[in-house]
Amino acid sequence: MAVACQAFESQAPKCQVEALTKRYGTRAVVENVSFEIAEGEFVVVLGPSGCGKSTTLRLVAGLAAADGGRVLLGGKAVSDAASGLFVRPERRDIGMVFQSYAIWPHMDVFENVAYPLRVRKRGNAEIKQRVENMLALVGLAGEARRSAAQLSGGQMQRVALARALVFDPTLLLFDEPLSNLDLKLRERLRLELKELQRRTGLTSIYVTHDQAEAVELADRIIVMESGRVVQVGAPHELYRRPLSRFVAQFISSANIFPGRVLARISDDCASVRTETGRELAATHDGSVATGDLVDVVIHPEDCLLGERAPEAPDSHHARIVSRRYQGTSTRYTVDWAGAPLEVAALGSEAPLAQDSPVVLTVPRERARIIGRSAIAASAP
Amino acid sequence: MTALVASPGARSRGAWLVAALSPRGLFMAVLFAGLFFLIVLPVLALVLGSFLPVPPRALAIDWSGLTLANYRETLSGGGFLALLRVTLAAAMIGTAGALAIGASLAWLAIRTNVPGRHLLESIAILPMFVPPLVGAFAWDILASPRSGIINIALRSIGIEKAVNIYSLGGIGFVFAIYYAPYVHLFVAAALRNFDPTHEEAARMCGASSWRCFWQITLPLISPALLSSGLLVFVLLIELFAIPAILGEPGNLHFISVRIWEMVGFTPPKVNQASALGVLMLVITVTLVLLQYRVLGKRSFVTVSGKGLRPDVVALGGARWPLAFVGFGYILFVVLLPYAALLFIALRKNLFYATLGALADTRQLSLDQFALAFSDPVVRASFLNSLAVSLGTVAIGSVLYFTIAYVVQRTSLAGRRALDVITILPVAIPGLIIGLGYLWTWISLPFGIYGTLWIIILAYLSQFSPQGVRAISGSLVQIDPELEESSRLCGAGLAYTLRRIVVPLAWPGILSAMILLLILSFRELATALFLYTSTTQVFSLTMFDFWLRGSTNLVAVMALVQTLVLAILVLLARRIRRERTPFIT
Ligand SMILES: Nc1ncnc2c1ncn2[C@@H]1O[C@H](COP(=O)(O)OP(=O)(O)OP(=O)(O)O)[C@@H](O)[C@H]1O
Ligand SMILES: [Mg+2]
Repeated sequence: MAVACQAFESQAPKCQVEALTKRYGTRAVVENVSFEIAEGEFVVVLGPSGCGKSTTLRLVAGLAAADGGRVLLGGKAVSDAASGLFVRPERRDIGMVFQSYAIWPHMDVFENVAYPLRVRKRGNAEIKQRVENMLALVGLAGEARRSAAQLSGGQMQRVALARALVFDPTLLLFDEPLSNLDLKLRERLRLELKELQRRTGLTSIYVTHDQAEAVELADRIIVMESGRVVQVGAPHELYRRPLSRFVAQFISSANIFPGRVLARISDDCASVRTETGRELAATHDGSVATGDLVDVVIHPEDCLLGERAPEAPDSHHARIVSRRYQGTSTRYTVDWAGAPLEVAALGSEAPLAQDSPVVLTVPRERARIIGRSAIAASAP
Repeated sequence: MTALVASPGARSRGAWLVAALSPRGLFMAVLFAGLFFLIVLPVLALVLGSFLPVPPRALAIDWSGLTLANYRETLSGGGFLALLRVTLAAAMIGTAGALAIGASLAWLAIRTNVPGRHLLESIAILPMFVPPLVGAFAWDILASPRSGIINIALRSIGIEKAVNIYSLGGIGFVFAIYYAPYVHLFVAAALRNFDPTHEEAARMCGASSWRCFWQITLPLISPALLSSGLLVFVLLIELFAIPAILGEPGNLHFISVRIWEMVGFTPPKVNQASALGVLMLVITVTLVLLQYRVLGKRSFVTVSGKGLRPDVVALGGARWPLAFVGFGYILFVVLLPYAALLFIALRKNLFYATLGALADTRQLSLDQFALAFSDPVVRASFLNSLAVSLGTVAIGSVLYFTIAYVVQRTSLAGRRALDVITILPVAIPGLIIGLGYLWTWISLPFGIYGTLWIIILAYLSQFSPQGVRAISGSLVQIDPELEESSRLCGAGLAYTLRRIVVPLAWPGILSAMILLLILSFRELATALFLYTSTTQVFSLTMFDFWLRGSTNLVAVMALVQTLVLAILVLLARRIRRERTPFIT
């Protein structure tokens, strides 16, 4: 998507957030948050509970006023703390799906969806036409006259989506829209949502604390930690090149262990000695120097296990401690230099025997070194 | 908190001036000014008046004449101490009785297997709907020492002067029965939310059920007892109607009645009355502050999220006798007084001294009703009351909704202060509000004094705590996201209020309106200093007729008033039931 951004360079991004800050009392809940979203992009804001995701979204929507920074929609400022400019939420032309769905219980499904059009004083015929199209789009055709109070969670979710889409907003916001649903429904609606977004091409910001959801939906993910943006990037970038231990931990179930750089092998490769005494070669982003304290990230599925002992580089002696057969893959805990390491082997072959010695291969281009203090945000 | 009306972020010096001149700032300024006139100014005027040597005159305040003489006069001699002693003693007796009655009924209805406990639970608060003035009339008819019906009946079986309602004990009894429902409401809520595992744990530790009650149950509901006790105590100190009817004949003088006499009897002593009023205010404000502290510490009353009703206590052989006592008591304090009023309303002459004379059916007729309905004063004051009540409801519902909305749903600067001002009148007796209004509006050059408007304004300030709280209660139940989604759909604040907030809060708004209607239709003390011959309200007419001895007419009027109120209460219950399914 970084490429897409370049392509639209001449045109202003759909949504720009610049140095946004929000305080409750003296506590900064959102601090110096900046990002840009291009036309048609689906961006997920990901972070643990309480890190300020919802607050950021509400600042964009205009449901709260920032204490610092600017929000621009389509190149025009809608809030600017410095000059006191604040466009009210109803003037921002933003559709939003809330965590509670916020379906009005005193109106039926049709009236809920028709509401934005009634506010805009559209004719009855047009309203009927557009609401019915929208209900069909979200799979609720024929349910128009049901009372909103009797809907199931999944149906409310669809009504909320239809209501947010019906007036062709310039930007669509989602605040954990699937978190109140059970797992199966959540997975199905996730697919539908992605499909719908692809079809409508709407620029969207989606807030969640569920990394699986984020990875599946996002063109780009903005990772937040205690009110700050810690990394921005496409899902595979975050996965391959996390900038901090926090991102690595949050985005995957990787092995992470602390160590010290022994020597730089090349511009993007160095040898590291971990605190538990392992020695291995791993890639880095060029900024590390000999003697630096670092973390090493190794994804379980990047490791290879073999019985022979080739004298190949990146191979180490290990022993299988335990294994969990999972059908299409097997997960092992191996003992490598006196400390455990998680390894995933794909395929449904018979698993390796417990307690047997194995050769563990950790390809240097897959092991990743991250500096201890690298919290700076990366530009897309 | 939602920020539907968000303040601009710039917080530089002088920004507050910009904020104050913005539309939001002006709106808040107008709201504050309104409440200042309604609630704060009358109290200030009263306090000022208590330091002045002369009665209020239009804006002509002689600041050099400030004096402590009014206080000196009030406090010197035994007069004030006697007043204080009687007022506090009766309030204490009443509070103790209310606590005993309210707590036992709550326990009986909620924690035992007494037959009909659900019915008992819902009728236990019925006495609250008997206006204190009407209750006082009825108990005078029933239990005055010489001609009370109960005494006549007892005399016929040879017991002389058995009950005397004109005593401290008698007045404390009437206080207790009509204020017990307040205690009941607090304690019942605490018992309902009670996590039974606390008790079960004590039983598992080997405690007997008696020990368990004293060491576990009672301490856990004691905050409810304490705060409801304090509330009742304040209300009883503030009360005017019952002491005025039942205190004077027995030579028991209460502070509130004394204030009324000082203003109403010639020569009027408004300044001394104001000093006495300020002293009373000091007492009530202190008690209300105390109550808030107690309420603030209530957190250890545990609420079990399981929504389980605590196990009931099996009463065994005492089940039926206790049911008899419980239901009998409610009938005794609700039905008996109305039976007495109905009897008096139907009876042609009121001279009866024996049971035989009481039972004489030839004496019964509907003449009194015809007389009352054709009396021009009764009719005029009924219409006045109706006009005042409707005016209070119309203005009050808009005003209280605005305040409740600003406090609950916006981030406007000053909303906390707004909240505090609207609950102030809890600590201001109606009589004192009335006196404050007298001071304010006589000295302000607007022609409101002598019209129904001044009564409406006084009611609006007196009932603001109840009104705002009732509407706030239904606003907080509405998920803020329901409003926010409307805003994002493109609707402005006004449209959102009309299409989303008001429809969803409607049951609460409606019951607040009916509550206001009831309160203002029956109010006596607040209007006491504010009426003229053309603006007399219904309660005042009743009180006036009673003082002049027209007992029959008063009985008819009390029945009419209660009938009107009963219809309103039933209406409120109906509407609540029909509309509540919306609220999630
Ligand atoms: N109106 C408010 N007043 C005070 N503090 C607030 C307010 N709204 C949010 N906060 C605080 O700001 C922090 C961030 O809140 P926010 O709702 O943005 O978190 P979040 O990332 O959306 O978390 P979650 O995943 O739990 O929804 C929290 O610690 C919260 O307590
Ligand atoms: Mg959130």
